[in-house]
Amino acid sequence: MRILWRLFMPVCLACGAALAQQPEEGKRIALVIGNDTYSIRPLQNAVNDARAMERALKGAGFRVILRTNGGKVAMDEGVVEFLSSVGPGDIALLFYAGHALQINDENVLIPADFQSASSLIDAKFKSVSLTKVLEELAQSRAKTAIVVIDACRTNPVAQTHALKAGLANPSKAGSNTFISFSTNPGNVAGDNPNGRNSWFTEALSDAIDQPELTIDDVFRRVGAKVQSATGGKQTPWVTSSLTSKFYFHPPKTGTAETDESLVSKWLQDALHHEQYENWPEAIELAERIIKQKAGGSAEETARARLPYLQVRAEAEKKFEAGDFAGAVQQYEQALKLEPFGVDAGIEAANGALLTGDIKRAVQALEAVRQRGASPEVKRAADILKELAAVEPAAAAALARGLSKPPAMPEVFPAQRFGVPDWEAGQRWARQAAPVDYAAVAKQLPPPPAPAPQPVSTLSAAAVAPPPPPSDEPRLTLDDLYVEVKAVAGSRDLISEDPGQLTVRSAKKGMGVMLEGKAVSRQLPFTLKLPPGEYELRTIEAGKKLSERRIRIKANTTTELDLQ
Amino acid sequence: MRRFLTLLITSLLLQAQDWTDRAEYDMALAVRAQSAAAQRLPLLDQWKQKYPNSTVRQLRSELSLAAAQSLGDTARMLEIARELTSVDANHFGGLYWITLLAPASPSPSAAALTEAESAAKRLVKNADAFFASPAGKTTGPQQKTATLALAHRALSWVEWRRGSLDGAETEMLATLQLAPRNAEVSAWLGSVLAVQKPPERQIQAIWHLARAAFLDGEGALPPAPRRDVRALLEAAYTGYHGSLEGLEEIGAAARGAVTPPATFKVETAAEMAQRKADEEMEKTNPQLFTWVKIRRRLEGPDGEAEYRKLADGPPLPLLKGYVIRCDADPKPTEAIVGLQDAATEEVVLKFDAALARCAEVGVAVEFSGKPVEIARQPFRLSVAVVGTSIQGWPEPPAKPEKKD
Repeated sequence: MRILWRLFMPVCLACGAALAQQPEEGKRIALVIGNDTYSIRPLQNAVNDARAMERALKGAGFRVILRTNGGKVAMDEGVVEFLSSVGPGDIALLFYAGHALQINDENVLIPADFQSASSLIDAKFKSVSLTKVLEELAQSRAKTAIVVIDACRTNPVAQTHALKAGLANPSKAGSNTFISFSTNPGNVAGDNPNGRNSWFTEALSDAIDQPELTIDDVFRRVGAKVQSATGGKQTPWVTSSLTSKFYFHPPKTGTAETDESLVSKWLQDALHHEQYENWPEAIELAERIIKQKAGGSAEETARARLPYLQVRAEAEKKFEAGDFAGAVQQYEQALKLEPFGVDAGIEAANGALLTGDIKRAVQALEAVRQRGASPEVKRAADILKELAAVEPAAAAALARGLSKPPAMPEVFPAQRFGVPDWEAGQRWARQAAPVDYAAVAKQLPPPPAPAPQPVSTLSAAAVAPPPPPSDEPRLTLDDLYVEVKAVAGSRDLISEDPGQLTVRSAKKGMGVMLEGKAVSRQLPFTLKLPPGEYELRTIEAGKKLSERRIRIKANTTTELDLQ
Repeated sequence: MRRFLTLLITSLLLQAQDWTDRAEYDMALAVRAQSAAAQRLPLLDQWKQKYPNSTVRQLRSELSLAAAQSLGDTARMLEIARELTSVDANHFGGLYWITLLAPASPSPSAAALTEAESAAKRLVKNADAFFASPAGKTTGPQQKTATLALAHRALSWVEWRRGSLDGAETEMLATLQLAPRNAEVSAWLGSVLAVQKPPERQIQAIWHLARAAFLDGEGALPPAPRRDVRALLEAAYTGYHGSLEGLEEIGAAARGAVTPPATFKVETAAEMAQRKADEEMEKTNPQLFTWVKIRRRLEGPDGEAEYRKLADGPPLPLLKGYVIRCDADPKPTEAIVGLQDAATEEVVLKFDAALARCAEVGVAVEFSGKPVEIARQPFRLSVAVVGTSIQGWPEPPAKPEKKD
């Protein structure tokens, strides 16, 4: 075990070093392809989509390789340029708008010069394999790979060869990869025939422009908008193996990752180092978490784990220095702190055997048999069998047989079974549900109508000659009359010098209505009005015959002949 | 009591759960050895595939749920939560996550709404028993409140998505009672109210949206939806009020209270314009403004009582009107005047004694007196005046001098 462990050590240290020096976010590079000019079933928005994405991505700091209406050669060249540019720690993004299809569960992108295919193999070779691009991206060690395909549009190639509609669920994506299709795998998306961009890309390029949105937020918005625009017929699809947050436009203050997610990453790294027995690195991370005072389960785990890590580091140091008795003591202590750290039990047994303390070795091996997995249990049993010849305790242990393995809650002490993870729940609840508040804004009712005012605020100086008392004019909807109304806001509240308006008409029986009040049943008629702009409508039997505007000036008579 | 016993039995059964064989235990240890959720989840799936009916399958699902949760995989979490509740309809963790995650779906099916509603209702129903159980007791009392708030949040969302605005409002208010600092639900409530026409709903909507947009710290919205809510608030506010004037003050007030005080009022654009016009009139023509106020009182909802007050009170203040006509000339006993203009008949001046002659039409007069009668259609207020006290009324023609 020791030898194996030693052989493994350089590898693990390399792992540790790689983990410890995980590159920060590198450059942002995107390949954006849009194809419209197909000879069969051309599209109208794909190039616009590519351009919209080019703009949005450039705004988000990406270097964009743009290919529009590219044939097979041009698309291949674009892919090669893109993949050659992506290095470790980079953010790599592929956006494709155009026709695509799945051939035997492999997704392929159709170049603009695709004419026809005699067979599926022919079609495959005349296309660009998305699966291969994903494989290459997985090997590129990019920090984050993002693949967005707005291509699940109906296409005649698929129909000719009786292929499945839409795209296949991609299976060759690497870790830290985010993939989105404009609709669910197997479904068909629309091109938005009345728009400049597809519904999907329109929503996506808009959302990318928004600051401080995580990629999850961006696609949640896109999903909501596309579903709303298509009446639920199209549901964008997303799969992600990202382990950290990605922002197109990171928050301006502080780091993009919250303290919470950073601490959680440190914890994961610490546990990873522990797994590979990189004790100093694991200790350093655990101490960093505790120092951060982040609270919650991460700090709790780090605090609980630190003594064990320190004891293991000390045990290893003593073992390396040849202090086997001291090492055994430390390993036993480690086993008490972490009963499932059965490798500590094996190490304790090794050490005890090196000091000649066989009984102690048997005890350590018993601990391994209690909690270890089958290979470790077998190994412990094998050693016990050898020791049984010289140590009765070993024979007795074998005779007792294996005890029942510990129950689930003991195996997973950090998991609180039967109780929801409140902490996670709170974190989740803090992420607001995707409500389209812009759509709510569109449903706002019109501004409330002004409440009827009992008294108008006409100028006190508005002096209109009163109608003769004995002949009070009454106009009904059936009558013919001219309606005079001030244009709102065109008059001063107070005006000492009115103007006059004389209305004439050849038509007989025409009345005059001033501000909703009948003032005369016959023409010609002169009104005294405050200066300002007025609307005059000729109305007969409730129907508007004509409409005009006039301006009344102070101390001036305006004559109007209604024909 | 029955629910408590069920939970107790479940808890005992949990202790009795055992490994199918040592190989299953090995699979559990393999999961345990993986700290990263992305690695754990496939191992848990393999375990599930090999031991689908294991006695520890519910606990295994809880581990899967935790892993999916670490990965932020909402769809997977929902799927696992459904598995948990399919085995045990009252599985608290399963119900909790279904309830919590349901509103994350932008366009839920009717079945998804029914599922969310059922889970939320079961969560409410089982809350007392769960939090009284040994497992539930390990959590603080605030957890129960938070869980109930979560359930009402989900129920409100279900109602909203179904188009039941009243039901949504009730549940949103219930949520806010339990979780007053939940800006998201304030935003929802504001949205539900904002699309309703009555002005009082609009005013309430402005308050709730303002609270959602202005609330900081615990319970505040994340930046992106907060910006969206702010945009909605501004649209609702300007639509109602006509400008953004006063919005910051409303936001500051809304930060401090979940619901608006009874006195909370937002002027409509028309009301504001009217107020400004009134202020202008009061400044430039106070006499007319006095009359405008009197007439509004008389034509308001308490017009009759207001008239009584005026009739029983002191004489009207000095008012200015324009003569429109008299009942007779010479010797008029009544004259009709317009106070806004010389065309709108508003006041009938009833003289204590016939005057010598009628005034010219349009002549401005000032008068005071006591209201004696009111007509509403059309509006006419009759005021008893001492004829000789009317200012501006023409003097009687001079009598020809007698020659001796």
